[in-house]
Formats: sequence, structure tokens, C-alpha cells
Amino acid sequence: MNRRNIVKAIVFAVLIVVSGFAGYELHGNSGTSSSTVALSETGSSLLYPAFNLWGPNFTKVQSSVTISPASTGSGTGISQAEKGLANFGASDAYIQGAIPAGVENIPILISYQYICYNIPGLNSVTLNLSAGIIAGIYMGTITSWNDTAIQAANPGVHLPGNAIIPIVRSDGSGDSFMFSSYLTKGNASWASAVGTSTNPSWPTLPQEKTGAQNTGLIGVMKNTPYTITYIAATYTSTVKADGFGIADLLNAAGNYVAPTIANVQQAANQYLSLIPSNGTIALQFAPGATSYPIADMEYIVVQKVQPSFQIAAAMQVFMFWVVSSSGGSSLTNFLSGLDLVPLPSSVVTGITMPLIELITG
Amino acid sequence: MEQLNPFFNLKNFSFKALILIMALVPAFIIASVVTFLLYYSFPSIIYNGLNFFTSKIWNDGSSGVILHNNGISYQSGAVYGIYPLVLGTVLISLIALLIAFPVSFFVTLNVELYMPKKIRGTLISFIELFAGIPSVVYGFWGLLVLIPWLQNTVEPWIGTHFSGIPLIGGVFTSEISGRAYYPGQGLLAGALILSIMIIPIITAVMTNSFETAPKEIKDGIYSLGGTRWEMGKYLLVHHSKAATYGGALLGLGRALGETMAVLMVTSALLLVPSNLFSNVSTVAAYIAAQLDSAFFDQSGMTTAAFAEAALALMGVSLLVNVIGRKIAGRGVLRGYQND
Repeated sequence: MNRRNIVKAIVFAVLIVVSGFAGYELHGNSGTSSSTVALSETGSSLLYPAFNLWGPNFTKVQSSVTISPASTGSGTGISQAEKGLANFGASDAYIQGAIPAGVENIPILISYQYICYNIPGLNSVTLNLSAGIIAGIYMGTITSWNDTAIQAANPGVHLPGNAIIPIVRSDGSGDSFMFSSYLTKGNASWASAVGTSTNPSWPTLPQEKTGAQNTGLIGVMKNTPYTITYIAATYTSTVKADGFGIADLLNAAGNYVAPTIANVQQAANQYLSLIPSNGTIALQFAPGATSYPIADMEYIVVQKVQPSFQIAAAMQVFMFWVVSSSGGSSLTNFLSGLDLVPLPSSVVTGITMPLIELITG
Repeated sequence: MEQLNPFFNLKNFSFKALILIMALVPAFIIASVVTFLLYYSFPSIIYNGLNFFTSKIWNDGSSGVILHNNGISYQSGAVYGIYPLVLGTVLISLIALLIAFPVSFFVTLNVELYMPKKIRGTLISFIELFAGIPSVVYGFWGLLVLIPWLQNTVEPWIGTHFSGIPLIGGVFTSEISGRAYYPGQGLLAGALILSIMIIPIITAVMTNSFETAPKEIKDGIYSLGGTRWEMGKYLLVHHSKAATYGGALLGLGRALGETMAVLMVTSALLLVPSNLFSNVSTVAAYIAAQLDSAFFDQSGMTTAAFAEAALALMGVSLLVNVIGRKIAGRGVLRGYQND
């Protein structure tokens, strides 16, 4: 064999190997091996720890199904599930506007959010805050911690005169969506000036700071006194370990309420009769004496028609398990540790189950 | 051994065809990226017009409220402007260059003229190694070490000592409601991180041109009684001027497109900077940070706007690189491609 032939042989060998891998990739997603079905999940970083726990535990129950989760972002989750690039797209917000034909968003859980602050000397004191105050801070009309509005909500607390430094998420985020949705429902000037978005058009304040993901927010808050921000309840242990203050919030009934699982469930219960059959509703600012005002449902986005019946069936079995109180929605086994809240049982049977049943092959 | 046909050999022909196709792959990929960006940004170019480069607001519009007009779709109230991002990109990159250029200049002089030969080689490879460190590592270091240091030590020091200078004092003054405020995260942090990342590129071009300069020139200057410092300065500033400034432009090209490290030490806010410490963002960092949110916009206009921002960034980076290469000359730059 001369040199040219050796080069040719190498080139062809490489081409064959590459094309082999390409073919493998194309078929890998549809679970062609007869016995096991590999399901892919991508999207929300908030839901990622849940899927990471659910996957192996579900495979223990149902050995023929494996789940591989990825933390990419809610928007990516929706987009990839719509295009069929992933079986499940996880999102912190329901699909905005009309749901595209052939796609559905299925509520599976409830998450909620804290309003945290780092005020030296006051972090052990629970401050009372309202949507009006928080919107004022983020719009630049309330600039110092001893502003009259904050003082009026917290009689007897000695507030410092330092400037308030608001922190927001630097990445497009379901948490920013939930937070801006709360302010939109709770404050008219926020509603008209900014509104609800995963990337809100934050009013420009020179002192504003950003952090990537919840961990980034927590890092910036830790380093910077007199800050305020919104942090997902799934980060409770970090928030408590760092000793940030967690505010009680004014709800629609006019009471200051603490972010507890009971108060979040109370908020969800207010909407039981109002949730439409496609599952699309915002839970913020619920009526009810003890309802906590920043909570929202978490969603799985799927294509109704999957590549095969085998895949559709595996997806259904997994999702039924996820919302079952003896499966993935068990508080003691999973959700308490993750600081997530199960859906009320009437939502599971009335909304979630019928949507899961629509998945077909 | 098979007989070769002197007129036509199929195997030879097919092999030549194969390597020709392989050789065209890079050109094809670049062409397809540009085509893709143009195609995706088209609705945004129509919808935003020149406002895209002058507006200070980036607002996806009302979630889910989709309007249709002249064949394009967008969310009600959507406005896309990248003026603060362009300004942030330019300022961060220029300040980075302002820091990195003199450092590279003196590193080159020191390495080439004063350092023993044995150490020189090691030091040059060490500097070149810096160019290969993934930017997320720099960003991580910036977030945990640089920012707290800037926030608590450097920025207050600069603020106290320089804010009183007439005319330019305002550049070093940062206050909210009358109190001094030093964010750490922002323009200075981004520029410092970037300068560390582009020093190896500029230094590599400078040392290379120094070493390839004709021996006659070096000997000539010494024979005229010139000092080492005078010789080095002459080489870099006059003889190899092209390589010196071309290297700087290549560094600038890299700085303009750097994403991860800058994102980690600045923000993703559309703020117009008012001083050296202001929180800013760059085009590249904003795209990386917010692209996921674009997928929530079912009209596709937000994705189109990001594509237009990417197109603008690509255009500027290409331009700076092409000019840099033209000035510096091709031979000098082999192996120092912009990432």
C-alpha cells in the first residue's frame, strides 16, 4: 500500500465511523431497543433537581423506562419539546398566548418565591413588604430603606437610611416571570410600565445589580449589603444558611403573610374552579385571608403525538407517577426536600390527568 | 502495484474531489452562518429599522399578545434597542485595550532585551498558555476574587483620590442618593478581565515581530551608541509598527466578541454608563444571557432581534480582525486566531 492509499483508507474509515455515529444519534431518541425506552427532559433549572431525583427513583419502579434530564432554561424547554427534540420540556411559566396545535402544557407542581433582603442588623427581623413597595423599589421611586412607605408597613422597626440596591436575574428566567407577574397583578404602575416577562424590561437604575441563576443572585446578595431580590423557594436551605431576611408579603385580602407551604396551598385552592382545561393560569395575588401572593404552577410541555405508542405510554406512566402523592409528588419522599408544593388533588384529577391522557403514539 | 493511467485516473480524481470538498467546508460554514443570521434577523431589520441601534430599551412586549402587520409578527408593545449594549461593548473593549497594550509593550521589551535567554523561552510559553485558558475560568475568578476586591478596595480608593480632579473627576465619581456607591460588577471589572485575556495575543504578535526583525537593525542601533531601551523602542514603535498596532487590533477583535467572562463580571442590564464603575452589559453577554427568554415569544420577533444583534456583532468583529490582519501582515499572526 502506498502512502496515498493509506491516506484514503484513513479518510474512509473516519467517514464510516462519523456516519455511524450520526445514524446512532438520529435513532437514539426514539428508543429503538425493544426493551427500554429512554425519555429526554430539558428546560427549567428550577425543576432540574426534581427530575434528577425522580429519574432514578422512577426507573426503580419501572425498570424499562429511563429519564435523562438537562438544565437548559424554560424557554429552551418549551422550544425543544414543541419541535420534538425532547420528550418533555420543563417550564416555570405556561406557554404565552395561543398554545400551538399539537402541543400542550401540563401543570405538575407549584413553586413559590421569597422576597429576600440583606440589611446588616435587620436580617433576623421579618419585614412587611407589599407589591406597591417592591414595584417602587424596582422602578426607582423608593430609594432608601427608611422610605416612609416601608416605615409605615413596619412600625417600630428602626430602618437604616442606606440606598436600596435591587438585584435581578441576568439570564432569561421563569423566576423573573413569576416575580414580574406578581408585580403586574399587584401594582398598576408596574403593569403599565413594565408588565410580565421572563426578561422584563427593568427600569434602568444605576445601582441595580444582576446575578446568573438563583445561585448568582445569592452570591451577589451575600457580598452586597442593603440589597433586595427574589429567590426561588427551592433555594430555601441556602437562603437560611446565609441568613438573609425573608419578607412577609401583603396579599389580596390585605394581610401580611409568610411564605409557608400551607399558605401557598391556600393560594392555589382559591383558583380551583377557575383553572381552564388547558392548565394555563397565573396563581399570583390569590384572594383568601392567608394566601401567599407569589406562587405559580410548574409545567411540562409535550407534543401530543409522540414517535411511537411505546414512547407515549412510557411518558404517560412517568407523568402519572410524577403527580401521584405516593410517587413523585410525595412530600416526605421528594417535595419537602426540594421545597416544592404538590398540586391540590382536585387539580391533578380534573386538569393534569386528562391532559396526560391526550398523549398518544 | 496497479498501472497508472496517464490521462485519467478515477481514484486520483475522486481523492482530489474529496479533499477539494473538505477544503471548502470552512468557507461553506461561514457562508451558511451569515446566511442564517440574515434570514433570521430579517423580520427584526424590517420591524426595528435604525431604531435598533439608537433605542435604549429592549422590551419583548406583552407576553402572548401577538400582532401581525405587513407579513411580520410581534408581541404588542415590543421595542428592541441595543444602544447601551453597543456602547458597553465598545467602552469595555477600549478600556481593556488601554490597559493591555502598555502591559504587552513592556512585557515584550523586558522579555526580549533584559531577560536571560533561558528564562525567556519559558516565560513566553507561559504567557501563551494564558491564551488557552477557557474564559469561564477567568469569569469564575473574576466573580469570586476580582469583584469583591474592586468593590471593597480598588474602586473606593480610585473614587476618593480621583473624583476631585477638575473636568474628568466625574468619570471616577459614583453615587446614589448622595452616598458613594461602588458596585464591583461593571465596566472596570469587565475591562480588567478582558485585558488579562488579550495580553497574550498582543504580546505574542509583538515578541514575534521583535524576533523576526533583521539583525542588522539591532546591530546598527547598538553601533550608533543606542541603549537596549532605545533599540527596543525603535523596533516596536517604528520598524515593526504594523505588527504592534495590528496585534492591538487583534486583541480588540477578541475583546469585542468575548462572552462568558464578561457576562460573569458585568450584568445583563441595558444601562448607559455614567462613570468608570457603572454596571453595563455587552452585545455578546446579553445574547448569551437572554436567548432562552426569546423562546417564550411565540411570534419569533425576539429571536429575530437577537439574530440581528449577533449579525451586528459578527460584522464589527470581522471588520476589526480583517483590518488587524491587513496591518499586521499574515505571517506574524499564524496560530493566534480569534476564538
